[in-house]
Amino acid sequence: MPTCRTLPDVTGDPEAESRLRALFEAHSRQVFAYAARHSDPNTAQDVVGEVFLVAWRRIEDVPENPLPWLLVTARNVLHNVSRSVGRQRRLADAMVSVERLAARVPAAEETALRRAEMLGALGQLSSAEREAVLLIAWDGLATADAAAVAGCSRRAFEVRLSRARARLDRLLSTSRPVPLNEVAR
Amino acid sequence: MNSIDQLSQLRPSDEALDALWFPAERTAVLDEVLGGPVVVRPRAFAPRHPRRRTVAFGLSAAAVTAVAIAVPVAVLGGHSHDSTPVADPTSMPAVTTGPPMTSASATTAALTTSVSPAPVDLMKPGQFLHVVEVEKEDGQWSDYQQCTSPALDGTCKTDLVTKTPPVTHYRATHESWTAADGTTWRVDHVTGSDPETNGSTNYYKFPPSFGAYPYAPKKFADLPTDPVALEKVLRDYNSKHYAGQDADFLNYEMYDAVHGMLNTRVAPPKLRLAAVQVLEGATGITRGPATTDSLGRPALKFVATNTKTGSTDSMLLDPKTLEIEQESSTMPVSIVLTYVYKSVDVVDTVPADVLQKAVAQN
Repeated sequence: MPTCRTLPDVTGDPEAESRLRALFEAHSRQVFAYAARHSDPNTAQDVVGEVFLVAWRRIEDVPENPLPWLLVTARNVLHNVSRSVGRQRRLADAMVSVERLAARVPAAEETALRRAEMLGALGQLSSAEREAVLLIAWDGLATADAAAVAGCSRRAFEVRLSRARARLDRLLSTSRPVPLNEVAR
Repeated sequence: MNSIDQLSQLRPSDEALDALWFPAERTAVLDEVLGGPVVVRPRAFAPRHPRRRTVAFGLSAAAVTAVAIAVPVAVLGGHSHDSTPVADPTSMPAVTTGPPMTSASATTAALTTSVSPAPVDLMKPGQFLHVVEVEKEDGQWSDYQQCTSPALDGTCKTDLVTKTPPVTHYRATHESWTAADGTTWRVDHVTGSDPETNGSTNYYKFPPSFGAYPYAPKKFADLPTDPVALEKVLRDYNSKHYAGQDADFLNYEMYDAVHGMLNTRVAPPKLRLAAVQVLEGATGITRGPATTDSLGRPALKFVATNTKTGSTDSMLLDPKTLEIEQESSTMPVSIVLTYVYKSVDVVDTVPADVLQKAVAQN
């Protein structure tokens, strides 16, 4: 009975290492962004390490379009790193992580206002709805891939996404713009 | 432009992500990955490297004898590679050293000078480390703070409107079995105020993992067990890894480093002792007076504040084995997270239902 894990054969393979390095360069920030959305930055860094360790160990299994695979792995790693799914969801529910990550654009008043409106609207979605739109809008996933990362069927995800978009549209259309004379006072 | 397009414009930029995850940290993570997975070997296996020969300063003759007995039986994390027969824990003397580094923060309590074997130190090949941990979460998460008057850069300096979230009450029991190669089976039983998780039971199988940097088990054999040398190794790592961070954060990272080592539960006795002595000598880390944990067990208490998140973290250690009994984090959003290690022992098997129901996580 094997009692210790051996290094994968690929570890001495320069081609495999090149592939892993390229994978890391192309996607590590995206995996970090996903993990940081569901945890804190320190935990997110550990999650990235674990995800790419799995990728290194299973480099032959990493698909040509690797991001969905990496994010599913990240979701699974988060279960372990943080001990509980519940704690992670609470972090996500708090919207703290999303707000921290959302791009700040200093150029225009209108953009700043739209950012605040968008974050306000996102904060009123359920965590599942919010995750659905973020998987599409931030992670750039196709619907089928996003469903895999969300851990549900494509059909269920499409329903969730459709509902989330409708709510988001409604919330944004009814949000009251802040009068300009109140901006940056 | 539809709402998804608008949301896409708020996608985190590379610059924003670099501010949260420094390029140097990213490089370090890649180096860790390419360094290979964690291989924690049972005692019976041949060494990859000769065991480090480090003797703590002030070591007495009696202590040398104790070390000679106790250290080789450290199995999982210690990379102890000889074939010394496993001893009965009750017959194993504690590892002792002379006084550790001195610090103003440590003058209120007697400093730690010895460590006794823990169950994991006696684990044999084919056995499993069995841990039962209770997680508690109480308080209120602050919800999204809506800004009624955003500044031009999107920040909000005034008029934050905070929705009041409901009080949360969460309990989870995590029972895990970890093999010598690091593979872990875990069962989570969850109760509490969250209707989505209340009453749920989940079975997982996790592959061997890194542990936290830079104190992954695979590195334990190379870490000095002299507290001064260990402190230098950790501080050098933190200074490089968190370049540009202020001194308070680096002090917290010293706490985090030691916590990371102890939390693996496979740090060998001499390393545990040196790590605790590092805490006792560290700036910004408070060693409290002798106390008890929530189960009434005697404990040493260490407290530090994470200046990045604002949370106050504490860990309670068994004064004899220097293993973590309980840890907690009080967050600025009025949440208290507590983890109590209810029991830690070594067993010969993983329950059949756990093996059967566990869902592989990679």
